[in-house]
Amino acid sequence: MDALRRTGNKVILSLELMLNRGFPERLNPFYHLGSLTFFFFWIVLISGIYIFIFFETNVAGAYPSVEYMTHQQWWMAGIMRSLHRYASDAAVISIFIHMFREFFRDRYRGVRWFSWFTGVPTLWLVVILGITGYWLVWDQLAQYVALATAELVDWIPLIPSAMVFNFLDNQITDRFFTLMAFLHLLGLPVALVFLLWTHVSRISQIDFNPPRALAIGSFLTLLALSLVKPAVSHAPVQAGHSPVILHLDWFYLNVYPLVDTLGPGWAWGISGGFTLLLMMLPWLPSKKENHPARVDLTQCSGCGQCALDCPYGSISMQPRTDGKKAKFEPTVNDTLCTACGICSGSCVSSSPLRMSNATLKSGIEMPWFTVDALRQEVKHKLAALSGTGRVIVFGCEHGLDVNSLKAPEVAVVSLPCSGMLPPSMLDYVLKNGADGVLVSGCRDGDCYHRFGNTWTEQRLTGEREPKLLTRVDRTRVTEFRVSNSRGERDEMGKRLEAFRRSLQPTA
Amino acid sequence: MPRTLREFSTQFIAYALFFGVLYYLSTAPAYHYLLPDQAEVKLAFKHTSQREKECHERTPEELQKLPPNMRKPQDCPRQRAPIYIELLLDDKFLATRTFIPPGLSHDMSSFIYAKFSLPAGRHKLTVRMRDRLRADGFDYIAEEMRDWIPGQGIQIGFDENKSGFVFN
Repeated sequence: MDALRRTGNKVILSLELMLNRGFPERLNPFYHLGSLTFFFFWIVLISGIYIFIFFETNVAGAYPSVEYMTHQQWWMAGIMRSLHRYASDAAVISIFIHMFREFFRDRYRGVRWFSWFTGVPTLWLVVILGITGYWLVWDQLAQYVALATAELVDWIPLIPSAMVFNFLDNQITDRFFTLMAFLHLLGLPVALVFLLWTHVSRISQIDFNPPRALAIGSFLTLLALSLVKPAVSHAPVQAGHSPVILHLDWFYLNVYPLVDTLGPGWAWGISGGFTLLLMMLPWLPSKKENHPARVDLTQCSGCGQCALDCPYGSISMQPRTDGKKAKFEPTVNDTLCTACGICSGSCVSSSPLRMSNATLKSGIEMPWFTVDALRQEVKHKLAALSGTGRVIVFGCEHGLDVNSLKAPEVAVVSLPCSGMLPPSMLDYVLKNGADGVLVSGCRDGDCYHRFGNTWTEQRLTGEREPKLLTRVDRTRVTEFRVSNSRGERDEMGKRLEAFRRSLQPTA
Repeated sequence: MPRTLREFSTQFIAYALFFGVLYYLSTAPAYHYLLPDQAEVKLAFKHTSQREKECHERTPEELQKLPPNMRKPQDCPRQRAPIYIELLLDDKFLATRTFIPPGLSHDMSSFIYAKFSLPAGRHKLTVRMRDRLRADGFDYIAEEMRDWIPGQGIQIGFDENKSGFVFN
């Protein structure tokens, strides 16, 4: 499984590298797959409301009303119908890339199992919603889909009646058709909203909207497609005729050829097996997370910055229990904590300039990698540096592998997330023998722990607490956020060399 | 918005790829449900097969042993025989299907549904059904000679009152 993830991650990183060259300023669509999916759902909702105005929810009226929209009012309802279809298809693309990307980047196990697990039924619901949409047109494709779906349902041994008889020879009733319309228009969308809410319920500060430029670009693409290739219906349902050629929407209707060729049992087996495999993935094998963050109230001022910065909502501020003046204290929910260390970097008491002759203690830190251990590591590495242009590189485990940058003049310190780095550590490093500091994090907009690189950047530019002190010489500090792709490793090497050349010896 | 030629060309290619995937997979490749020279036959009806075993007439002694409210003169096993159907095209085997009656005791009516494709043209289609427990022979047979038109969909039902197949 590790080899599969590593290989897939390499492919994804190469694709992202290509896209990063054309989508600047965090606009890479791969970094906004979740919010793009929400955006496509908005298009589906708005276009769906419009075409519902003209849609007849009965067997006899459905097809003519869709034909009216497609051909007579093509300039508005026709385009809306096309947008409705293509935005639904686009949502499937973004969902699948999102799913594979999270898998390859190993962001589906451990504490993150819940989002993955709840995403799988969401996928089913999206597909069922799409399928019911195709029924409503009531053309030959709709009849084919209805019959094949009925074959699937009838295969379930617990249901003794035969659903398929409802669709033979135009025996479908208005009542059944209205039920399908209700499911597509209200029942399934409401269920989908509930599942989506569950899917994102374990992460904080969710960005539901993609960047404007990306939203405009995606919308214009869908609009262009709607004009170039408007969505059209198949021939109307005709008694005594079977369809010969069907133009299936493969994003939603791919299971039906399986029903025809292998039978409903195999179709259930393949789709059910795939679903089961997806749901079990977080435990095949499971991921052992590091020990969650630990609070030390003797050092905590109760400022609440750790709770603000936690990307997983695992820290909440509760009434103080130790009788100190501060009103609140942080409480860590272990089941939500990924042990990223961002809280440790956000704590003002993590400053290595404190307690220089004693064990450094922070208000909140990782028991397996304390700020004192970090200070010790930095201290030893500073002592081992030689030559001129001596630089300490702080890297993120999930971004560029900084070990490849090691040299006599360059020491590297790897962190679980660049957000774990207290800004005062830079001050400490420059005061204790380094000529410069390079902070390397995940790519802009693509932090493995969601906000680690953003918080670090804001702390260094003085936009977020705890801020880098103004006395620190900014020419000796640089940031470079890159992924671990080969092209960016080379680029990082060049950037580091240029940075070292720009440094004047402190002595 | 793209600011350089490289940004413009990369974005153009990315959106074009997005456009292309949606353009193609939203309707293609075309799925040939039937070949252009094929027609389709659907068997679709509800039928209750015969009981697997004949009812047994209870003797007065057997009746005496039963509680008074359960003294029915016949003891009828619930389980019904599987329904076996054969289709022949121009007297050659086209397909066979067996339907096990649903229900925990396999005692309910069977919903027969199966579909078959056959070549267009003038052909004789024979349907034979066995609905009782025996090794050979058929209880119902029907034949239909007709010109099968490409894309034609014929449904074969069963009329319980007329005790025979109906070609619709």
